[in-house]
Amino acid sequence: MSHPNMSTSLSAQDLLEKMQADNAIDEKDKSALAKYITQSQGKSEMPIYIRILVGVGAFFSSIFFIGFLAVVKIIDFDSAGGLIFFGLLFMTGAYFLLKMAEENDETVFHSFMTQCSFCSIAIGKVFFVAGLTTAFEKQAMIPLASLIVTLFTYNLYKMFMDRFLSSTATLLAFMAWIVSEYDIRESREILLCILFLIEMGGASYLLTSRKLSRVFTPLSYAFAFSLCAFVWLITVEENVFSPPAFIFMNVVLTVAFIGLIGWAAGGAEKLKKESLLIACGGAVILGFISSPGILLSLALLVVGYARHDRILTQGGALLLPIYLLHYYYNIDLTLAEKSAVLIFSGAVLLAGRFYLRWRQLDREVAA
Amino acid sequence: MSDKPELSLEQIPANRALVEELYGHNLINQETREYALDLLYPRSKWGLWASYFLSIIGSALILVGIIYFFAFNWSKVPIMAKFALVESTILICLACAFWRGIDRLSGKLFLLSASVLVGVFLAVFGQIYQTGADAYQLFMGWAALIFGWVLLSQFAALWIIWLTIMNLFICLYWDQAVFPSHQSEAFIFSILGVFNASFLVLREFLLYKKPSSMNWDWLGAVWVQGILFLAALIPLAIPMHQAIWESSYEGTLAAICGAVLGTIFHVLAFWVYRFKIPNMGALSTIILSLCLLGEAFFGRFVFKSIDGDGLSFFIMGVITIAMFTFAIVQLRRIHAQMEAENVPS
Repeated sequence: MSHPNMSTSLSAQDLLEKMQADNAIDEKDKSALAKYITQSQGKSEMPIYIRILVGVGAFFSSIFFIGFLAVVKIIDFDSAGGLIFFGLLFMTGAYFLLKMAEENDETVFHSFMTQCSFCSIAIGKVFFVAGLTTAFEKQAMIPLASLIVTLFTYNLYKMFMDRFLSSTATLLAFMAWIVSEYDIRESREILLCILFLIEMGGASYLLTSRKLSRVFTPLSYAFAFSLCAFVWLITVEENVFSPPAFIFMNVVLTVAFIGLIGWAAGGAEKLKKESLLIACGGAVILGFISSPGILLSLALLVVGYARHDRILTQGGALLLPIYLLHYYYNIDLTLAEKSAVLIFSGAVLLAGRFYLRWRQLDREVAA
Repeated sequence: MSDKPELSLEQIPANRALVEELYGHNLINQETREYALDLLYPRSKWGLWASYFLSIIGSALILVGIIYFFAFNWSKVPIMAKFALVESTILICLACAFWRGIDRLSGKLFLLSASVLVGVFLAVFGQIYQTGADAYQLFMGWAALIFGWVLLSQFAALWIIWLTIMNLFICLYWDQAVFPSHQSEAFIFSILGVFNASFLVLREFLLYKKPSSMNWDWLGAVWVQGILFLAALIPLAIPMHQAIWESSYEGTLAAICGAVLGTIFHVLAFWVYRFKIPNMGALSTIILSLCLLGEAFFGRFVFKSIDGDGLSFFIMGVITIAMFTFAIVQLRRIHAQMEAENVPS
C-alpha cells in the first residue's frame, strides 16, 4: 500500500552528502549526524499529537488534584506563604519526577512519570502565582509571578508543552492585566502598544533567527500565539483601541511584513527585485486599507511557508478567512458599497495573479 | 523499542521526521533544518505560491461580493435583471471552466464559483416567486443540481462544499420535515455521522485501493482527511456523551443506536488507521476521543457513587493520570512500530 505523503526518495546517506557538498555541514558534523541517525533508529521523539494528549491529560488531572486539595483543606488557600511553599514543593517534585522519567525512556514508567510530572508542575505554578498574588494583594502580581516562574523553570524543566503553555500564559496575563487594570483609555492604549511592540519584536526575532536552537521553539510559538490573541482582542473588542492606536499597529505590522518579505527572499538587498517590490507595494497598500488581523495572518502564512513550519502555516490559513470576514462585515459602508468593495478587491487580487503570470514570475525560483 | 533489524545509513529514508529529530536534539540549527527540508520538499517557488494564493482569495472575495449583492439588494434590481445577471455569471464561469480545463486550478475555481452561484440562483428564485418552500428544499436542490459538476471536478474543495450543503440539508430536513419526537431526536447525530463516515471510507478506498486507472491523488491532502474524519467522529461521539451524561436519554432507541454506532466507528477507525492505512494523526484523535469518553464515564460514576467530594476529586485525578498514561504508552508503541514500517507521521 502506498502512502501519498511519502515524498522523498533520498536516503539519510544522500541527504548528509548533499548537505556536506553544499557546506551546510562539515565532515565532523556529518559523522556525528550519521552516528546519531544509525544509533537512534526507532527512538524518535514524540509527535505533536502525543504531546497534545499529554497536555490534555495533565490539564484534567491537575484540575482534579487542585479540587481535591481545596476540598480537604490540606492547603490553606488564604495563606500566601502556604501557597508559595506548596507551589515550590510541587514544582520541585515535578522536576525530579521528570528526571526519573528521563532515566527510564520508552517504558510505561516513563509515560506515567511524565504525566505525573506535568500535572505536578501545573499545580505548582498555579499555587505559586496564587500565593504571590495573595501576598501582595495586587493584580499586577499575576503576570509578574507568571513571568518569574516561567523564567525560573524554562531551562530547568525541559518539556515542550510546559514551556509553550507557561510562556503563553505569561504573555496573555500581561495583556489581561493591562485591559482590566487601566480604566483610562490613553494609558491603557500606550501600555498595550508597548506590549504589542515587545511581542512583535520577540516574535520577529524568534521566528526569523536561523541560529537559534530548538529550546526556543515553544517560546516562539508562544509569542506568535499571543500576538494572534492580542490582535483578536483589539479586533473583537472595538472599544479597547482608538483609531490612532489601530493605525500604529497597522504601521508596525506593515513594516514587519516588509521585513519578513526581505528575510524570506534572503536579504534586504533582494527587495530591489521586481517581484519583491510588487510584494512590498501590496503590503503597504494592505497596511493602509486592511486590518491588523489580515496582515498578521498573511505574515504567519509567509513565515510558516519559509520555515517549513506547518503549525504556523495552518494557523495563518485558519485565521485569514476569519479576519477577512470580520473586516468586510464591519467595514463602515452601505451594503451595496460593501459588495462592490468585495468584488473590486477580489478583482485586484486576480489582476495581481494575471500580472505574475504575464511576467512569468509564477515560474521564478527565488534565491 | 522496536524489534526491527538495524538498517544502514543508505537504507534509512530521509524525511521530515528525521530532520525534525536531528533539530529536536540540537544536532542541527534552524538554518540547517530549513536547508535539509528544502532539499527534501523543494518549496522555493514563491511566485507560484503567491499566484495560487491570489487566485483562491481573489475568487473567494468576488464570489462573496456577488452573494452579498444579491442577498441585500434584490429589492432594487428588476426581476429579469436579477435572473439574467446570476444565470449569465453561472454560464460565464462554466465557459471559463471549460476553456481553462478542470485539470488546472483556475478551471476548478471557475467550476466552484458556478456551483456556489447555483445556490444564489435558487435563493433568488425562491424570493421572487415566493414558493413557500422550506429552507431544506433549497439546499436539497442546490446539492442535486451541482452534483454532476462535483463528480467531474476532481477538486477536493468543491467536494467539501457539497458535503457542507448536504449536511445543512440533512439538518434542516430533520427539523422542518421529519419533526422528530423526544425519543428520536438524537438520531440526527447518527445520520450525519454515518453520512460523513461513508465519504471518509470512499476517500480512503479510492486513494489507497485505486479501483480504476483514474488519478485520485487530488484526494490525498491531509486537510481533506482531517475534515471528513472530524465530520464523522464528532456527531458519532455526541450520542455517546449524551448516553453517559443525560439521564433523559437513557433507554431511548436513538441514544442507544447513536452510542452503538459511535462505538463501532471508534473501533473500526482504530483498526483501519492502525493496520490498514497507518496514520498517527487519526489514531491520536480517536484515542483522545476515547479518553474524553472515559473521563465522562468515570466522572459520572465516581461523583455520583462516592460520598465526600475530596475523595471523588482524588480518585478522578488518579484515574485521569492512569488512563492518559495508558493511552500515551499505547500510542508511543504504535508510533515506534509505524516508524519501523516507515510510515510518515
